[in-house]
Amino acid sequence: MTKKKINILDNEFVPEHTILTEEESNEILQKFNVTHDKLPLILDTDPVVKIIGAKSGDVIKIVRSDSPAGKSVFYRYVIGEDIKQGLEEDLVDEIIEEESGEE
Amino acid sequence: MFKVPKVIDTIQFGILSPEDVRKMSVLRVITADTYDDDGYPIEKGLMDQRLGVIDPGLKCKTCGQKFGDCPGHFGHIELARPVIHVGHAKDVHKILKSVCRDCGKLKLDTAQREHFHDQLMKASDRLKNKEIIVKETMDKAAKSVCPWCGSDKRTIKFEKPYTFYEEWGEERNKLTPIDVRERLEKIPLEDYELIGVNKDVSKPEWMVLTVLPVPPVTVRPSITLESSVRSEDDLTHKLVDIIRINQRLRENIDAGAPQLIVEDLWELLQYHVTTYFNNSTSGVPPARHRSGRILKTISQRLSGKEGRFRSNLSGKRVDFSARTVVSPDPYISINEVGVPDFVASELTVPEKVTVHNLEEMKVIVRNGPNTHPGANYVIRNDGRRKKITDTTKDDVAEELDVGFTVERQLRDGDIVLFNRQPSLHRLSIMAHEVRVMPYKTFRLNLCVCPPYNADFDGDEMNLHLPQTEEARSEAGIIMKVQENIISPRFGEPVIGGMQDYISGAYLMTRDGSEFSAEEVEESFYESGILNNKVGVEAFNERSKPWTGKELFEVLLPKDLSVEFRSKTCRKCERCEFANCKFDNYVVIKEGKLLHGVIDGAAFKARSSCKLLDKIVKDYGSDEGREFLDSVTKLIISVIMKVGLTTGIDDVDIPEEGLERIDEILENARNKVMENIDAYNRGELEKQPGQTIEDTLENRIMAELAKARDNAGAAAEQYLGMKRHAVIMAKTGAKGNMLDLTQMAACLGQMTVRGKRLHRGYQERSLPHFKRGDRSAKARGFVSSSYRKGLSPTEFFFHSMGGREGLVDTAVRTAQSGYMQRRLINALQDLKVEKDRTVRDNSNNIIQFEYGEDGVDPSRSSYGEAVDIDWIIHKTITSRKE
Ligand SMILES: [Mg+2]
Ligand SMILES: [Zn+2]
Ligand SMILES: [Zn+2]
Ligand SMILES: [Zn+2]
Repeated sequence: MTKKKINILDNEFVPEHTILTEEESNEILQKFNVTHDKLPLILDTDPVVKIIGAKSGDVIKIVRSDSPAGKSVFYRYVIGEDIKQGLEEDLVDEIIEEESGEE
Repeated sequence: MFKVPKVIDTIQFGILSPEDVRKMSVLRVITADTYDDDGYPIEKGLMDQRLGVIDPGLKCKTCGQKFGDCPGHFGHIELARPVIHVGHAKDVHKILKSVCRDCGKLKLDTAQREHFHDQLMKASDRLKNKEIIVKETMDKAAKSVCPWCGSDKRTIKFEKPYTFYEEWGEERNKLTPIDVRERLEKIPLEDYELIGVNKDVSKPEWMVLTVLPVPPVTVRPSITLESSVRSEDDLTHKLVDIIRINQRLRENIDAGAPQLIVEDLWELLQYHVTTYFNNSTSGVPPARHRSGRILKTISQRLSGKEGRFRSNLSGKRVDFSARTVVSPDPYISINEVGVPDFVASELTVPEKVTVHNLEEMKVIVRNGPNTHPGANYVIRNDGRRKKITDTTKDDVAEELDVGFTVERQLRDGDIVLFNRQPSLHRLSIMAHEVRVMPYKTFRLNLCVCPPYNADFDGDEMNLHLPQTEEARSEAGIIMKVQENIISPRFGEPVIGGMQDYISGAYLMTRDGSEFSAEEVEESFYESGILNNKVGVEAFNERSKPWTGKELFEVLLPKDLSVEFRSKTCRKCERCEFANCKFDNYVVIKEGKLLHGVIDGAAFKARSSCKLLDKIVKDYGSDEGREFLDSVTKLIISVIMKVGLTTGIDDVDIPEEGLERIDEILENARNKVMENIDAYNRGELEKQPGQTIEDTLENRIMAELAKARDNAGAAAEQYLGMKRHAVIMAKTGAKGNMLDLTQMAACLGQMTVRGKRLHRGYQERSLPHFKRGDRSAKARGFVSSSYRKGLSPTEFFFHSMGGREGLVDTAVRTAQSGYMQRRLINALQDLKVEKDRTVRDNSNNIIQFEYGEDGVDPSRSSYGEAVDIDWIIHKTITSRKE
C-alpha cells in the first residue's frame, strides 16, 4: 500500500490562513491599538502554521466561514515553542495539587 | 464618622529573615505548657500574657491595652536544628539544582549570564515575563557543569515533601537542612536576580527555618467550655508539639546522644513544623487531635471553601440586606417585590435633606422608628449620628436642617436588589421596586419565578438595599426585572406566563368562549383594565356578549401584527395557516386577534414564545411589562369564572379502550416470548456488531417500546380537550401527553443505565422470578398504568428507575457546580470594549468581534440581527392587499 499524502489545507474544516506582511500586521496592531503580545497566540508547531510557512513573530490572519455571522476574522501572533516553554509543567502541577486538596 | 486608622499604600511580599522574626518577637517561648494548675498562664509559655489578651478585663503586658484593642504580639521559638519550610521546598530544589555545590555560583558563564540578564531587563508581561525567563535561566544552569570552579556534576533529587539527596554514579547522599542552608548561603548576591529572588526583601537561605515565629494568642484564642475546661486552638496544640520536640532535640544534642537518635528527633521536628504550616501535605500523615480529628493548621485556615479567602474575603456578610421565605402575589407587578413591614422598618436609605425635601423629611422623622414610613437615624451637619426614638423624634424633627442626612426607612417605590441562590446566571439578581406589605414573607410575581428558579415550597430569597444614588439609578436602569424579560442567553423571554396563565389563556380565547357584559366588566375592573385601556362607554354601546378573543386583544398594542402556530397545533401534513380549522394558527393584525387560540406559544416563559417576544422587542420593555401585568390579572379573573380542575377521571378510559390496550400489551409479551424462544433454540439472527444477547435485548426493547407507544396512542384517542388535564398538557401549561398516557394506559419499560433491569439476585431481578427469565415482566416492564395501580414487583421496579434519576441529578449538580466555578473564574474579567473587541483585564484580545458576530442575543431575533423571514412575510402580505 502506498502512503497517500494529505494536504490539510484542502480539508473544508481548515479555515483560510494567511501570513500578513509587516505593513499589514502593523496596520492591524494600530487598528486595535495593541502590541502584538496582546493578540491571540498560535504555536509555530501548529500544523497549518507549519504548512503555510509562518515563523515565530509573524502575524497570521484566519478567516473562518463557519461562524454564526457567516464570516469572522481572527489575527494570531505566531510564537515559537521557546517562548512558551516556561509555562507548562509547573502550572499544570499546581492546578492538580490545588484541586485534589479542595474537592 | 469612622476613621481609617492606617491606609495601605503598597504590599511587599518577601521571606521573613531570622533577624526579622527575633526583632518582631516580644518573647522567646521555651515552655511547652499553657496554663498552670490554677488556670494562670505560664511565663514564657505559649499563652504568656505578653503575647496579647484574650480575656475581657485583663490588660496586655506588652502594650497595656484592653482586650479588643491590643492586636496581639508575636513570640518566637529558637529551633535546635534548622528545618525546611515545606512551602518553599520546591523552590529550594530548583535553586539547589542550578547553583554550584562548591562555590555557590549560578552555573552559567559570563556570556550566558549577560544574555539572561538582558532578557530580564526587557521582559514584557505575557509572552516573555520574568517568571518564564527565570525558569529558562535555571533550567539552563541545572544542565551545566560549573564554569567557575569546574566542580563535578552531581544531581540533586527531591523527595516530596521535604527531603533532598545528592546523587552521583551509584552513590547517594542525603542533604540535611544544615547542608541545604549552607549551600544557599553561598549564593552570591549578584546571582539573586537571575534565580528570581528579590535581594531587597529575601534571601534563599531564609527558606530554611532556624527561628519559628509564634503567632499572638489573639490568632489562636483558647475557648472555655461550660464545664470550665479550657480547650486550646489547633495551632496552639501544634506549637506545643514543636516546642516539646525542640526541647528534647536540644537536650539530646547537648548530652551528646548518638547520631541516630538526634536524626530521628530532627526528622520529628521537621514533621511537626511541616504539619504546623500545612496539615494536608501529600506524603505526610496528617497530625491528629487526641480524639482522632485532623488538626486545622495554617494552610487549612486559608484554603478551600471554608478558608479565609473564599469564606471571609470573597464571601463577606453585608449590612442593609434581608432574607425570608417567598410567597406568590399575582396582583403586584413583575417589577415589584412585596416587603414585609417589619423588614421595611429595619432597612434604611440615607437621604440628604435639601430645601426641596425638608418638609417631607420632617414628617418622616416625626413618624419615628415605629410608624412605618419613618426614620431610624439622623446624621447632623457636624457629622454626629443620632438615633431617633419615640421620645426624641419631635425634637429631632424640629432641628432638622438642609445638609442633614436622614436614614429613612424603606418605602414604596425604592429600588432594591432581589436574589435567589444558587446565583447561576445574571438574572439571579434583579432590581425590584418595593411594595411594603403586612405579614412575614417577600411577595413575588409568578412571571418572575423562572429566572430565579423559585417556587413557594419554602424557598427563601435575599434582598439588598443600594445605599447611594448612583447605585440605585444604575440598578433601576439596567437590572430592573422588565429590562431582563429577554434572556441574554437565548434571546427569548425568560420571564412570562406559566401554568394557570397558559391554560387560562386557552380557556379564554378558544373558539366558542363567550362572556357576558357583566362578567367582562368585572374582569376588566379586577385586572385594572377598566378606565385604563377600556372606558365604561365600551359597555354602553354593545349588548351582545364578548368573545374571549375580543377580551384578549384589548391588551395588545394597537398596531401589532404577528402570526405564529399555537402550542396546540396538530402539525397537520399541510398547514392551512390562517384557515386552520382547529383554530391553531394565530393571526394578529393591527392589534386585532383575528384567528387562533392563545396558549403557551404566545407568552410562556422559556419556550420561544412569539407574542411576548414580539411585544418586548418591537415596543420596548415598558410595553412588555404592561402586557404581562395586565394579561396575567385578566386571565386569573377569567379562569376563576370558567373553572379548571383535574381529577383521576381525567385519565379514565372506557372499557373497550382498556381492552384494546390489554390486547396490544398481550401481543407484545407474546412477541417477546417468541424472540426468547428463538434465542433459546439458537435461531435468532445476530445483528452486525452485536453479541447475540445484545441482539435479543435490543429486539425486546424495541418491541416493548413500540407496544407502550401504541398503548399510549390507543389511550390518547379518548383523551380529548374536554379533559382538563389534557388542556394543561396540550397548551403547555403543565405536564405532557406522555405523562397522561402513563397515567391512563401503561408505564412502559423501567431502565437502569439504559438497560432493562437485570441485577439484584443471581441471574434475576427479584426472587419472584425464575433464574434466567428474560420475559417482559421479569425485567422491569410495567404494563399497569398509574390509574390502575402497580403490582408489588412493578412498584419495586419503578422505584429502581426512579432512584437512578435521583442519583443522576445529585451527581450532575455537583459536577456542573464545579465546572461553573472554574468557568466563572476564567471568564469573570472579560469585557466588551468600545471597538467591540472582547478583552481581558490585561488588555489581551480574546475575540475581535463579540461572539464573532457582534450580536447581543437579547437584542437579536432568534439569534439573527434582523428577522428576515418576518420582514419578507410582512412585505408579501401587504402587497397582496
Ligand atoms: Mg423550592
Ligand atoms: Zn498588646
Ligand atoms: Zn563552582
Ligand atoms: Zn395547523
